[in-house]
Amino acid sequence: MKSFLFIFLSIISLELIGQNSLDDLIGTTTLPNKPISTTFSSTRIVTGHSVEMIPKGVREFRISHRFGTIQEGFYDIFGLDQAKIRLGYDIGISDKLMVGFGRNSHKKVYDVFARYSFLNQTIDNSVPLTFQYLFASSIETLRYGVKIPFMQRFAQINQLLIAKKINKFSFQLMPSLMIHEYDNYDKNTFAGIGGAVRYLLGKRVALNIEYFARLKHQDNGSQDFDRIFNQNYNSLGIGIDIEAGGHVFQFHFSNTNTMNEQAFMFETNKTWEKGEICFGFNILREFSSNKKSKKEW
Amino acid sequence: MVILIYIISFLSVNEDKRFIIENSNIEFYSKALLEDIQAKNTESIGAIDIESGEFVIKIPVSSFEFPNKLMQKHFNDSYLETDKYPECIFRGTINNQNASGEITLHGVTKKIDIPISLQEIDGKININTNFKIILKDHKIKIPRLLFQNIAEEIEIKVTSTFTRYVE
Repeated sequence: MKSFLFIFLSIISLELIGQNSLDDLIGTTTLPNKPISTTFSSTRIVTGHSVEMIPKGVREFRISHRFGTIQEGFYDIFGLDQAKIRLGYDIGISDKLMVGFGRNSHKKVYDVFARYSFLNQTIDNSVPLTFQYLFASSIETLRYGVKIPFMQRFAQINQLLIAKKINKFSFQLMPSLMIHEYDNYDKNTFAGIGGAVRYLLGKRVALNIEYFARLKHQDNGSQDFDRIFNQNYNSLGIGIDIEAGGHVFQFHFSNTNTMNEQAFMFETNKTWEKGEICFGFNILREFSSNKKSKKEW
Repeated sequence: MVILIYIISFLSVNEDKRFIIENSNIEFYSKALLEDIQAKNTESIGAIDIESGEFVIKIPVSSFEFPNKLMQKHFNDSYLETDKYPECIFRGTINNQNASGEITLHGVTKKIDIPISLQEIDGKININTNFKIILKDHKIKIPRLLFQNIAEEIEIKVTSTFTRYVE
């Protein structure tokens, strides 16, 4: 009886295989553990890095503009007269590594960075998080009356980027460490933590909030402590991304109008409380080294 | 007894009539105001039974390669939503120089009937076709935003070679 049932089932199963033979032959192209796409719209959230990578062989020319504070009103056209600019060029070395460099008009700073992706969140969440490391370094070339030590012009940032996308929300955490020397201050290591949220408002429009908090050293009551910590503020940026088939436009308001990590994470001297808000935007142009396939038909 | 049934049923399936895709190239092209849109996909899989004419082709939509990678990303994210609808499936029957059946793209299934050119060369089958897909039919929405000017119809060119299935 048992073997009879087995034979019966075998015949049925063969029958089923026979019916779907073509499908069975080829299988499926769907991979469940594909990396999740577009945790953020662009490689920058507002000013800081996001976990978005540019693919291998792609280069991006990025123009970032930050105006002065809007509170001066029409006198300096809501900050336009105080505009700062960063010209940057980013290169996708591989799908896991990108590097870039830039030039800031703020204090004539040159910056370089490299960002590496260790883990990528997958669609089926078998890898639940995206995990990256950012190294950024900058050199200030502004001339002062007196010669200042190299380490006071130099800054190095080490940052981890931990991100998670859940449907329309994306979250990112950025614990950061800066090495930089200030005049008359004995410590040269500064810690900070950043947080960012992206919410997809429409299919192609996203809202971004980016916040960087500094962890203060123990207050030694000195003037230099006050200058470094109390006269600077945490930075908060709120922006809108518009994706338009091959372009991304980013507009935002922030209490900082600088664009190198040292300056916008640790040296923001404006505050939302006093209405010192700056308008800014990023635009970019992508270049691909893949040869353009000409239309042949 | 069981083994016998297996053997009989395997023999009864005539393997020789089935062909699978050896290589394929699917391209689309659309003229736009600022930048022409074109992409290429070589990762389709498919099979055809030349006796019954029955065929199925599966195209991984996220494998379309664009010269502009940002455009490719937007194509996947907001136009074709490939996380939600990863595969385009075309199944139907071939009848002389005609393929008719159903195409499922962006989660919407449409009846389709297109002329094809089918040639058998050196034991391989070449199938080439050009046809158009109307974006509205598959609920692919194109925003009237900024500089975009994407045609309502996308022209698709397919060249493929099928080889005899060997187990």
